Amino acid sequence: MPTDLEHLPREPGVPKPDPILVVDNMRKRFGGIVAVDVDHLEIQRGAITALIGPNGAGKTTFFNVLTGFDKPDEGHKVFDGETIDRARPHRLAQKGMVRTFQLTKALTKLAVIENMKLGAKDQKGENFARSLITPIWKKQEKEIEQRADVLLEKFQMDQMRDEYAGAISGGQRKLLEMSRSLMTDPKLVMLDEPMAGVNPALKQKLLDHVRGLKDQGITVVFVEHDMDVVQGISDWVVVMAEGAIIAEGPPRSIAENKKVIDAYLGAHHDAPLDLDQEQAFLAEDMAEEQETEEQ
Amino acid sequence: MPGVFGAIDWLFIFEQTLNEAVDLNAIVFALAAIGLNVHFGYAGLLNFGQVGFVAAGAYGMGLAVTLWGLNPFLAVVVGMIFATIFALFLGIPTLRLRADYLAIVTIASAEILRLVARSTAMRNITRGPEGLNEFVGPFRELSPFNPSVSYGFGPFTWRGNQFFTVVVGWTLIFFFVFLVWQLMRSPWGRVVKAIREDEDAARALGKSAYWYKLQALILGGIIGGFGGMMLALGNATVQPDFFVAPLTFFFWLVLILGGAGRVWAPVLGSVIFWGLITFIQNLGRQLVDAGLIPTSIMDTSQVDQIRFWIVGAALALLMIFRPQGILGSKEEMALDAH
Ligand SMILES: Nc1ncnc2c1ncn2[C@@H]1O[C@H](COP(=O)(O)OP(=O)(O)O)[C@@H](O)[C@H]1O
Ligand SMILES: [Mg+2]
Repeated sequence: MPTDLEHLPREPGVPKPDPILVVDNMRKRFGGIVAVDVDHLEIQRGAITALIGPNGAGKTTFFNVLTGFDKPDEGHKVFDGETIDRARPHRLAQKGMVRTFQLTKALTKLAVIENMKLGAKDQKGENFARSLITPIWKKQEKEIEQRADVLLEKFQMDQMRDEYAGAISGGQRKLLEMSRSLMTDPKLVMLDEPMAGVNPALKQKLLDHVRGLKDQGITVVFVEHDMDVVQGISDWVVVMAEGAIIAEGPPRSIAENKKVIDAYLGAHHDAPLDLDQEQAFLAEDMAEEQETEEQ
Repeated sequence: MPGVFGAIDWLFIFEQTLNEAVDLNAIVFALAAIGLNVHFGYAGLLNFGQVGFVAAGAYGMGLAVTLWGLNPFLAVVVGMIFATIFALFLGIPTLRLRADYLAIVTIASAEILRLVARSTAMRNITRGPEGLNEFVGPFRELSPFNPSVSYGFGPFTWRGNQFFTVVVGWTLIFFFVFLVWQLMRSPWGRVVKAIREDEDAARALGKSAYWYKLQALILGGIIGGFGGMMLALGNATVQPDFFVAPLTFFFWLVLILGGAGRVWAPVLGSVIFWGLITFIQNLGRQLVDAGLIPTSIMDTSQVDQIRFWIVGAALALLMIFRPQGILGSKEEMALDAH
């Protein structure tokens, strides 16, 4: 297991003992700005890797490019030993690389349980001809539903299983998106700001679940602003700024890294807030207020 | 009041209304709207050229007989193939792009199809503006009903050939409603609905949004094509100028009226639409004829235009008080506000 990351050199692009994802010379430009500019990055299998960096650093774009939602201008990526340069998002998901979105994508007019069941792979009834004959897919559907119910219970969402996904709270939708992605039996889960806008109680629950993924042998990469969160659960931290990887290392080393503090804090307060970030900050403020009230 | 309305033949009006509510027009509109329901109601595809699929089905079936001399069953298959080709033509270039591209392309393509069919350059094939007129014979040979005998009961009475059309038409409607119901309760339908809600979420979970959208476009197109085939069969002719662009918006009206995303909605919408149109038309004519509406306000020919105004106003009221349509769910509608 990935305990020996401590002894790796703490420099950008450092090779990992057992990488599940390897990225080379990845670049993505939007007009004048270079959103992603990564020379080399390896993600350790079975570890929790945090991807941090100021707003606009290119984290989401990097996710998009890795998962096939955006085409890079150049670059190579290898997932689980297989070159995936041209793979489309749904193929990558089928191969075990699943992601969530910074702006939650709950399927509002489907029930929570249907959201979950959608995630399951290799469903016989998803084929047009076979869908017409219920006995062909009924049994598998039951199994999938059972699996979904187990997960919902684990995530303490079983009491809202039959509600429309559009009718549950924003934090619960984040939780739903994460548990739904697990229905695909992923090898690598990529979470884009899973805690943003989530209330502190739910945040703690989410963190526990992320740890739980690791215990199941699932590799996790997640984007997060909050350094405390990152310190708490990650095995390894990758820092992005202006599209490039500026630092890598175990969480403790990153917190002390001068370069990171400069890049991170420097931009953090000057950059204009986008809507998400504003919401995230508002949630933080509210959480702080609550804490002071309680004291 | 009975004195004033004594001149009105209510029985006749109701008979006409009930008859039109289930007759050929209602059948064609119902089938076209069932197809549109697959597109928009379930898959979220913005198809503003459904009339093109109706035309493709009608011409496919007609040409198969007039041009290639195929038997009726193969002719129906050709009608389906024409609708499929139209779907591929529209879908392959646009379904990977944002949703509005399909909308733009469908409006234009349906109109292009009609203009090509009626063009003089195509005269040898489609017979231009005259349309196809000699194909219905082999179909009518299949009819078990005697053309010179009346069938049905009460207001629902047709001559043999018309009755054949109505029976086949309603059989198709029930078949496709059942098909859509089965599909939409299956995992296939779950993927399609998920794509309607958020295509990227579906892709992130391993579903090829493009492939499912293409399947839905083809399926809804073929069902619309059957509407065209029924039209051709019922009228014994395929006229290019029937397939004008505004017709698509009547199909939409019928679907929205019933409530998009509900299996029976297109059928109910079509029945109500044609019933209402006929009721207003007949009542209006009689009111004018009886002098209850002075000719200084409106004459009989103007009644035909007024009926669409009234239906439009009724639909506007429905949208205010029941925006989800007659069968739609208010709860689901409210989720859109988020
Ligand atoms: N679709 C796009 N078009 C143009 N610029 C974009 C687009 N997406 C992201 N960007 C730009 O790329 C940079 C990186 O953005 P993003 O990946 O969202 O950063 P992060 O997720 O780290 O906050 C930003 O400057 C952003 O404005
Ligand atoms: Mg981002």
